[in-house]
Amino acid sequence: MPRSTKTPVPAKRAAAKAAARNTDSGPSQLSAALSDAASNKMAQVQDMVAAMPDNPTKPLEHGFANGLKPPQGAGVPPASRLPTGSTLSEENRSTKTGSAAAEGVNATIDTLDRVRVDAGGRVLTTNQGVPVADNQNSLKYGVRGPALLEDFILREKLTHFDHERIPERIVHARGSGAHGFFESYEALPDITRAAPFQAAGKVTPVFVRFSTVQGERGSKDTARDVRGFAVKFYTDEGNWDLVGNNMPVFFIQDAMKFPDLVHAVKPEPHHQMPQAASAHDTFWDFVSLMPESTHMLMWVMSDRAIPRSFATMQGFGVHTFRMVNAAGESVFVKFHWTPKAGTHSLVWDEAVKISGADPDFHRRDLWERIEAGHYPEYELGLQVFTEEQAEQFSFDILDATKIVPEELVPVRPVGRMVLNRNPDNFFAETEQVAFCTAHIVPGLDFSNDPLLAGRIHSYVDTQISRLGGPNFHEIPINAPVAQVHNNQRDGMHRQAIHRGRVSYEPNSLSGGCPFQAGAVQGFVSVPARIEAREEQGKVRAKPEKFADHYTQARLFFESQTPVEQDHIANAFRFELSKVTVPAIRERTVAMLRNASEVLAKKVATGLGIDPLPDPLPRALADPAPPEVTKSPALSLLARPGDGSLKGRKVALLVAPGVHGASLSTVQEAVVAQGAVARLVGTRIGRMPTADGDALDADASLENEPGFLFDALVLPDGDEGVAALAQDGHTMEFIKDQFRHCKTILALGASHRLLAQAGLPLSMDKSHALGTTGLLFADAGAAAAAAAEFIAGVARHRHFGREMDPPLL
Amino acid sequence: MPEHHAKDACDLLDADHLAVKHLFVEYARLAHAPGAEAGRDRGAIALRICDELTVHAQIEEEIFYPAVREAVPGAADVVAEAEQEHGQAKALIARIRDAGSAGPAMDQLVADLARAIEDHVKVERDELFPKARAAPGLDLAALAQRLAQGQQSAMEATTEA
Repeated sequence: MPRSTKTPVPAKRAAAKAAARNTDSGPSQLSAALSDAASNKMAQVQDMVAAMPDNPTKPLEHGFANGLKPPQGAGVPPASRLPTGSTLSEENRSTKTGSAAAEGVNATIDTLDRVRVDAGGRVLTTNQGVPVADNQNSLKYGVRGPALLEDFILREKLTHFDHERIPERIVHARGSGAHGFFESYEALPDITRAAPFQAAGKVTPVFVRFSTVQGERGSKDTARDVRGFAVKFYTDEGNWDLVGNNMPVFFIQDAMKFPDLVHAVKPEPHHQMPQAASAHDTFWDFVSLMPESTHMLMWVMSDRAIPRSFATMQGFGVHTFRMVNAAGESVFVKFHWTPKAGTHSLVWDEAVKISGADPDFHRRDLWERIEAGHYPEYELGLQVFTEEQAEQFSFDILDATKIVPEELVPVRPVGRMVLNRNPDNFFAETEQVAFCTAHIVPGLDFSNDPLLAGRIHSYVDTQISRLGGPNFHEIPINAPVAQVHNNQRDGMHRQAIHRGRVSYEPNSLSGGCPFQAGAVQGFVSVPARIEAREEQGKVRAKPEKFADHYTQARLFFESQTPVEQDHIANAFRFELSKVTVPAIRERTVAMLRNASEVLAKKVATGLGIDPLPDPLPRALADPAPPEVTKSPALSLLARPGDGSLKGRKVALLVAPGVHGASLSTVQEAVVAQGAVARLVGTRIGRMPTADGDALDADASLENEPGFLFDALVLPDGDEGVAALAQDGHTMEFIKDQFRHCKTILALGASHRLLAQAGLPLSMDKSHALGTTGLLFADAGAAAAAAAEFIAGVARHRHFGREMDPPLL
Repeated sequence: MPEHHAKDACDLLDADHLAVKHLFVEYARLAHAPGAEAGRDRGAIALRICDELTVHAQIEEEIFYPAVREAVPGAADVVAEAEQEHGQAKALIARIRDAGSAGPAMDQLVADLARAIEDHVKVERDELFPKARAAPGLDLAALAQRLAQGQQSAMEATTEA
């Protein structure tokens, strides 16, 4: 019978060791036995937990003022790494387990190098790493016998193949991506504490995905459509996705209408046509009943909807966002990306033809620019304005169908973005990248734009379905470069291996970690005040200014040059001509009458609508007079770019017997400017020239038709010209180049090809003016002609020769 | 640009259409160009457009329209429409000449003129020229010579004035 509860030391040590070797139940007091990890761990856990007798930040969770400045969470540093580990056995290491998790590190955010794969010098294996001896035959019972079920190699290969596809995006399915960086021009402490803008010259890695909206994953690039312009900034305070478009407005004002809009524009549900096109009944039925779409329709019918390249289009954040400085003060901002190469577009006839010969036109262009070192570059600009300013505007800044004219709030350049690396693998990067408008970082915040509100929900939601669960943030392309620590756990395809047993907060068993960051480091929403007015109760309604559907549609149209206005009218004519129901056409023209009588009349004439239908009734009889009635910045011509030929493609036609030296002179001059100048032959391969060395054509009239090139050079040499003259492709090549208003240089005898193609006699007077983009030169003057040609190509297009219907 | 054939009367008039279109396009380009190009004088282009269109309208009214009206009885309405459009264009031309120097006001007038001329060109190209070309009694080659002579003397008169 013990005389005392005070036990001798050896017995205590044994008890401590024994007590520490259970995963349930325990003594009333813990002590550590010398050199015994288990009891030391238990004792240290006890000490750490005891050091947090209560939750000290609990009282600070209440009240408005505390809500604006949440404190950092409480924590107790552990005495060693022992108490926070999952298992004592983490000290046992292997080539598979590696070592214990490094303190405070999430290793899944390492560079993409952690998941890169190169098979150089390696044998082929199964997914389990088993070398495969024969990758040609399934396992059979005899060479002519039945295949065997036990063939795990065949079954693994087929099973994986059977599951290669994931659901495509509901919208923006067709896309192309690239890596790059954003570089801030200056620190912006006055307006934001967002990580990318912390210092002049600060570099933030980005991944960008450009896309069309309507077409499916394999559809053509050159459809008339909005282009997605989504930028993922991997900032050191988390990922910021600026999920924008190449147009600053949208069709609708409220996310409630988003499924309706997309259902209307997508291929019609009964026969799944048309692909990658808005020129069909359901789209125009919907938008002509939604007059708030008029402004966006102007943009979509303009040449902005058929860009020459992703590198030659603007990008916009669309919605009004907020920027917040370190003092918590916020301003409204609109985001603008402006391409260094200028804003240049295709023409519709060209876009249609390209979609047949090269459906990957924009994807190829982006890839080739980057491979060639001609990195697409954009300047980021901000329109910054206060809530007080916004209240004075004639339009509502929460309305996604409105712009803030640059003449009202100038665009402030704040940095540049350069796309300088192609993905290694389309699926792993461009397909699996998940952009979400919800992804913002400290220093940024949302406005109350009701379309944005829906997007904040939808993007995350749709990725869960598309990427197979809630762990899509762990897919390498989506992982931040900032440390990721929270108590989100488990789910399909989880990759992180969390050390320790705590997956909740507050906790003391993990020393309080990870603890809430508090207002100093963490994201704090702007405490935007709700107006204390009666109509601010729960309600399903729009602000009154949202009802002005036409003022900015008119502003856009009136701000275009006459050629751009023609293109808009022609696009409406084309799209509506494809509609099968005359009443839908007429309703659309009735809607256009409220924006521009000139446009409505022109569209009606092109559709044989006579007389004009009455204008649609207006939702707002007397809208506020606009601050700006003409905005030259809305014309593509306002941004001619740096005039560089980088990324442009020039065709030099060749056939046996052309004059080689003059052609090579032009080719060298054009290539020196950064353009790709291809020899396009009656066939590919080497061809003798009239004057010496053979030329080796790397493309043919058949495989690279004329509309794929930005400009054309026709060769001298009677025999070569005769050979080209008898190839019907040549005439189509020239006609398309002429019709699409591209620069054409005819050397020596090749003027006969232009005549044969039907070059109108009536061009002579224009030619004397010198701005047609049609150049004629003797072979001997090829060097001087090349300089003139280069200047012509830099002008992009020569619309003086454009007639409707076309001359050629 | 090497000549391969002679122009007929419609080609000759269409050459004017194309030439002024080129001038309109160049004007708009300069009106929108940022930086150094913006400083280039587009006012001279506007005046050139006015001169070209004045001469063009004159030879159409004095030579081409009467000839077509006589040879193609069914063309009277189209010719009347074209003449009416000339009236609108002349009013704009007068305002451009009055505006004097290039600026937002002239930019707007030139853009308005471009649209008016485009409508006019479309009527001629789509309706009048096909009628003229199909008319058996109309010698478009001879008419072209008369138009060219009229153009030359009108241009001389315009530039002297």
